Amino acid sequence: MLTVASLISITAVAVVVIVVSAILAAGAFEASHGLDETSARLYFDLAAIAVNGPLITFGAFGLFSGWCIVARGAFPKWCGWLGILAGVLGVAGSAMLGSEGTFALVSPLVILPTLAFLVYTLALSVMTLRSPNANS
Amino acid sequence: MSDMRKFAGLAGIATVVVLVVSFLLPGEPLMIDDPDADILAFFVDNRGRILLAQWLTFVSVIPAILFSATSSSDYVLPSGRIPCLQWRR
Repeated sequence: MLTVASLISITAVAVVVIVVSAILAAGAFEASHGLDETSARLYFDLAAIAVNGPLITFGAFGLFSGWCIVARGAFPKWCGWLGILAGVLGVAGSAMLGSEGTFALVSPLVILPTLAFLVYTLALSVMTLRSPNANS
Repeated sequence: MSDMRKFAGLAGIATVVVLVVSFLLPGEPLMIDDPDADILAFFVDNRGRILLAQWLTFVSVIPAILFSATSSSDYVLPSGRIPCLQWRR
């Protein structure tokens, strides 16, 4: 059951990341078909606003998996706290992006949660690699 | 089981590497208040890189799902319960 839940959550993360990437790619694709400045601005703004999606889904994944790791103890607790920190940064960054009206592909509100999520995923991967029997 | 967990760890690392490459590939990103002409130039000048980055993002889903599917049992307590879904009295 948890495998299904985990797959659904990671699929949600993947879908929203793909949406942002696809909007930018659509703009790039149109660049060879007479893209004008107004349309370029539209593609860029859509991608900037869509960044909210990855932040929220990254955040949810970090919060709940981090919480489970802290409680379960299969991995070091700092790894779980790192996930919770990434989750809080993601959800808070997403909320502040909307309320401040500063949607952007490049902003500390986007970069910090993204970096935290990548470091957290990397840490989880290394822990998984180094502890072959963590669940036993 | 041990081989599967090693595979999961490698898949997670691969996910991060591919995502970082796809984030960096389009070049220096624009700011939201840059003029429209700069945004148009960004799409025209970096067309191939942006399209490749998008393909890499799609590809990153494969190791991400492998990682998720094979490592999720680490979140479960020996009792079979999920810690963050338990209500403590």
